[in-house]
Amino acid sequence: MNRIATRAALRLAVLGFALGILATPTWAIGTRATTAITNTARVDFKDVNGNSLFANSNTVSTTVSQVGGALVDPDNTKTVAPGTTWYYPHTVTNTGNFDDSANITAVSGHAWAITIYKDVNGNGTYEAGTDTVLTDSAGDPDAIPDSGLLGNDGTMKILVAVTVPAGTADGTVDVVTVVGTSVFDPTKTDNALDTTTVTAPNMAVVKSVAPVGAQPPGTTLTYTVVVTNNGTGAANTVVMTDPIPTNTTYQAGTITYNAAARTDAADVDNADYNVTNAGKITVNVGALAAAGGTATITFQVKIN
Amino acid sequence: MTVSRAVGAIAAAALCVVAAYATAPKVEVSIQAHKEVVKADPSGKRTVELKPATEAAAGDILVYTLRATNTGTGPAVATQIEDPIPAGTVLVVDSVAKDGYHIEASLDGGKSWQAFPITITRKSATGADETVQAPADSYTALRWILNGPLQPGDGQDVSFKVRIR
Repeated sequence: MNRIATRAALRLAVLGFALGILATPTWAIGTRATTAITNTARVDFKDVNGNSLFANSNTVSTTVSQVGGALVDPDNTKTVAPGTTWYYPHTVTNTGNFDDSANITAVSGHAWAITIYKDVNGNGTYEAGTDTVLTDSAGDPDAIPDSGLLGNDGTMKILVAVTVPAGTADGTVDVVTVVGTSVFDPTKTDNALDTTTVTAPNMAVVKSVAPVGAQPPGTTLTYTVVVTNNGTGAANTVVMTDPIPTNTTYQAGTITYNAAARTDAADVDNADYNVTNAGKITVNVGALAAAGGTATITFQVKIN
Repeated sequence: MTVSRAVGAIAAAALCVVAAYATAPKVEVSIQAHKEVVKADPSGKRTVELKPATEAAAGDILVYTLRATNTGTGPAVATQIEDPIPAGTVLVVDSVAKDGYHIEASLDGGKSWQAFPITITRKSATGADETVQAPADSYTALRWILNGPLQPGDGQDVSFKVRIR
């Protein structure tokens, strides 16, 4: 290599460095497999008369071999109601230095149903008919869904759909571990965590009676039923029913709802006796707000 | 005496020829590339072996060993060995031995040279100037300037390491 060629190589090196900074994230392994890394040294010297001389060395060449790498980002959190599905977006990156695919798996700590979709239009949200279930690439015998072949630093988008089973208790926390594994080098893995916190109503019903203690026949008893939503999710279409105790007789027209009188008939008000449910008080409470929404029902009976 | 004078003249001429050869240094430089292979024995002790680096993975450390040898017949002065940091690699800054020669480095592909290691001035987060070590990946070339003349038959080794990006 002569001097001019050496300079040209140096400039190429600098240019490559600058492009590398612009084009590749810092975590990436940058030099693509099969690239030859060459090095030629040079020596400059003078003889005793001050004449300048130089020589170039041999050139050593090292071929870059393949390194696998997979990255799955980011971690996500979401509060979800029971019976609904949330789609967590992730980006899968080939952090290796050559074309590779990443196997993708996702497991829920609560064994909830999970589907991994390819986010075909890459917008981070699920669209039925556009985004497709992630599958194993043709010709790949492992039967594990994968990213498909990605160039070094290549990325693709996935959606991890997590369905919270109906009836899951308020405050339940589930973590789905999404793992990307380099097909070229299965020791290279990365995972992302999708943390789902369940928001649901949590109903408490407290019933009290006055007067308390032993009472003779003929005594009027006032029952108070307090329905409270202690959950983090709103409760809808709440219905309270309460049977009239045996050996007592319901006292007509004594139902109150949040201290307002209600008729015994099944009519425009939200309470009735012995209509919707035989022998029972029925109250359509309706919606109760999260974190303390409450309704108070009272009625009276007389001991036979 | 005439004869002996003639012999003396011939001897002097011969000396002149020898002296002319003695002013011709010839310095050659060779380079070898090895990669570091870290091995752990069963007790967990790690050792580093050097293997020929015809092939190496991204992230591997390459060790370049350069040898300048004066194969000529006269001393070489102002000898300097220059080597670019190969494209696709980053200099391992603390691998550059500093004994026996003056080392300079370039951040601009050999257009300008400064004493190694290079410090740069940049704006800190607060906007004030701060002086820091040049980032490893900003080095583009190294050169070793030998302190004294390189006599015929003498050699000088220098080495440095790079990490494959």
